[in-house]
Amino acid sequence: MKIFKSTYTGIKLGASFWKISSIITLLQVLLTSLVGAAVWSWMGDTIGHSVGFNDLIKGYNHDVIQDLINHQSAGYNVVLKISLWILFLYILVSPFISAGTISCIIEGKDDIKLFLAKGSSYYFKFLSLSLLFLIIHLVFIALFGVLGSMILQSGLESYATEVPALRMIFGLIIIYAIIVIMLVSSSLIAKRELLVNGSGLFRAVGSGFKFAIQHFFYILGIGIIFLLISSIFAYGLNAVVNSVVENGFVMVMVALILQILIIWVRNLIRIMYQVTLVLNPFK
Amino acid sequence: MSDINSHRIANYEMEVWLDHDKKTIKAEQRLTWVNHSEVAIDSLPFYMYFNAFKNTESTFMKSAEGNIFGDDISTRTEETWGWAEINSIVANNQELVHKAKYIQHDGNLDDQSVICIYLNESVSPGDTLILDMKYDAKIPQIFARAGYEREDFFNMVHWFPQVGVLEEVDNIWQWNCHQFHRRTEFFGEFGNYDVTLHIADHLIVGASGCLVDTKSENGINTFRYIGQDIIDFAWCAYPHFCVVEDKWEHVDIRLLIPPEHSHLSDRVIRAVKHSLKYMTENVGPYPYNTITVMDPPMLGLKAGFMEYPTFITIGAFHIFPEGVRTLESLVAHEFAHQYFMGIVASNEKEEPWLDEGFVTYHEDKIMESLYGEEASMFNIGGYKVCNSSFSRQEYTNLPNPSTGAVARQGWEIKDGFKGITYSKTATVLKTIEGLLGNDLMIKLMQKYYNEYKFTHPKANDFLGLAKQFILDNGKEDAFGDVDCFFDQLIYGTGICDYAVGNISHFQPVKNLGIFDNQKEKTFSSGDKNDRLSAKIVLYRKGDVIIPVEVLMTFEDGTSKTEYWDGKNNYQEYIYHNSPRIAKVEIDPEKKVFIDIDFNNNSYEMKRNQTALLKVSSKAMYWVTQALQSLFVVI
Repeated sequence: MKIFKSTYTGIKLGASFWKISSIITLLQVLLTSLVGAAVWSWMGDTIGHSVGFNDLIKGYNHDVIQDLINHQSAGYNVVLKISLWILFLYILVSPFISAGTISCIIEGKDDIKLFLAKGSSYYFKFLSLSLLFLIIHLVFIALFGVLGSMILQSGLESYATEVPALRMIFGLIIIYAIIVIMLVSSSLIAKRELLVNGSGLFRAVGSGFKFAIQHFFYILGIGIIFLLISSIFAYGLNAVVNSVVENGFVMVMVALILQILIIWVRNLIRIMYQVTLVLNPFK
Repeated sequence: MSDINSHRIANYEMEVWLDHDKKTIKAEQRLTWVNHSEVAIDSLPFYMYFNAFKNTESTFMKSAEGNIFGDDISTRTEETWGWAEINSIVANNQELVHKAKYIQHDGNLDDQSVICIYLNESVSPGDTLILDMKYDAKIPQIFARAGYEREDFFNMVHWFPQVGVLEEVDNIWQWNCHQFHRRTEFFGEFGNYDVTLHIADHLIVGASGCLVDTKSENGINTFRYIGQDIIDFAWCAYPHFCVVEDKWEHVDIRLLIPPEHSHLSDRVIRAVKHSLKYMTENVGPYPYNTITVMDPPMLGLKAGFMEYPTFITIGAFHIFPEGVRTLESLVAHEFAHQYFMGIVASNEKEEPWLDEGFVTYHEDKIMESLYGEEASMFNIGGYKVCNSSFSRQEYTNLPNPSTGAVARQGWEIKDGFKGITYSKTATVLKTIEGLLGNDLMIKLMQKYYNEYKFTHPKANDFLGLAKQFILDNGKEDAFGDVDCFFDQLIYGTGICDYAVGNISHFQPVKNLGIFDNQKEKTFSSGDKNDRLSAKIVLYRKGDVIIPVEVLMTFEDGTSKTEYWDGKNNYQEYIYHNSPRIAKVEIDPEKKVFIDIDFNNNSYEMKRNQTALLKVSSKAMYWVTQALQSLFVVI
């Protein structure tokens, strides 16, 4: 019941950080609006005047998109490159967001000034920590990728059917998800250590892992609950967005606002998760 | 089935014993062959396609260049290779086996995939030859769909000595019996098959034709199958098949599916039934009483995706979302082969486009009639694709869509086999449908079926029939030069691409400038016209010439349709005293489906900012979602 109590408290306290969620959403949308602008420019300049382009209002149109990619691949490559650069840029922006958010959580203030100030002052410490965890995560991805392909190959060769291999892959995905939950939790606890106790990088990381291992089931339980909450929200809100018939400017704007709302809610849920782990373990 | 449909030239009675442990068969067969030609025949060639899998020196293996469907042949062990050997050939009580000789048209003397049997006495026109043969075969681990896999899975295709096709070409009767090449399939003569299989009783069997008798004795099951008016006979065996039986009108449907795929049975059966219905209604009656569908287990997947008379193989997977209909498409495709290759038995080796292309076109039609034209192939998470679009894109997505003509012999195809032979052909047929209209296209296909069922039509037969059909129905204007239309699209490699080049408006002024007025030069300030003139420039960017309609829509809502023969690669239209142009659309109904880029076929003066906003915001949204999901640990 400790898990549910903590989660409930985390959600309750986290819900008050709507300003922080808003500023994170703003940062994310500003970044990704570069992709939007690239798509606008690419499509507008190439097929913006085509009658076929209007079909995209109704949804995905295979002919329009494939013909566009086949014949206007230069712009497509630009959009892809910009998207990749933004993903890279976000790795650099993320520590700022984390430092600001966790500082606000620790101080219990939904204060944008505090967010910006702490984000700046702890930026480099958090950057090192983030890169370290990113590397650990990438090692796990590579490991699971290799394991997965080995299982798939040997499974398909050794068994009459694909089912055992699929089961093993499914098991591997579950193990991977558990590891990701542990990594996220360790990372959060390490960040708290940096901020609260002023620990060094490796000491903080050590504390994070130690805490995650010692409280494995607690952390796993909370992780699963928030994964479920996030998935249900994402699924539900995406269904709402998909149900909007974007057949004119007004409805396209409605869908755009809903999309931004989804991004905002996802950020808020993440803050709730952070509150649960950072602020009140076992309270 | 009691009606006689074909000339029943090559008729087989076979008795086959399978040794599932040793992976061998021992067989006896009697061929009753009718000389339907006007010349005496003194030799008969037979396909011995298991010998294509005997060693790396066969023509098949050499043309495979070390890789067959992803199978690295360099790692093959002794027991995985296969062969076939005839031990006895008796005609008129005379043993002929010593006179049999492997023949090679391609000069590869190591190839044993075709054997020629020389007779002591020639067979006169109209006479019947009876050949009694005994042979053994070692079944290979699956090569090109044929063979065994672990757990006693067997797919027995192109497995018996099968006589070639005697045909008249340019008034000369000659045998058509090609060696087995990597890229070629099959070409057999029509006849009846009476096949008795002796197989260990733990194996569940499926085969071409109808099962008419079964016996069980000493752990061996005996199955007798009869197939009438078919060009080949295939069978399979596996201990774990679930058998699902159903019926559509006169047709018994038998699905052999492994237990791990059995939850997909309803989808497969539905696709088979709809394929039967569509092809019967729109091409011609299905003349057989049975269709067997075999879905191989994963270990035998290389036996899947293939067509044999009244027996098709597919390829399912344990996880197959409802909205991913490639499984149903595959069923429709392989079933349509019953018509194009099975009944209208064109030569799959020499003219693969005549079956694969026609089948892909009908696969698309079957699927779109079943699931609608918007999302017949994929309908998952907002990703909607219809089959004909998918086929078109398989052609237009080729790195070089001009890589080869549709009409190519199978063994000559090095590049774009799927994209050209299957997909470009299907897209050409869809273009013919667009220009003829759907109803006439159905009539064309029905005519082709009726005139060539149970025969071996060639490209010229279809092209001649189609051209005459177009003329008879007064549709030649839609095609321009009908001969040129087919030459370009079937024998040519050019692409079709029409584009709107430029739209401009100008104000024409008359009587402006200096004019000689009696003996004086006078200046006239001109007569201004309140209404504009519009100029539209169109381009034909590809080599292919097909007449197209051009729809001009004006700002006042009126429109005008022009007819452009496409002969010049530049075309302009000027409208004086007209309202401003709102949009121009070449081929607005997408009749010319072979056009390689639809996007440049039209131009709207006002850019659709709402569509742009929608697409851009979606891109932004999905990248943000990616940011939120990818970097959770940092």
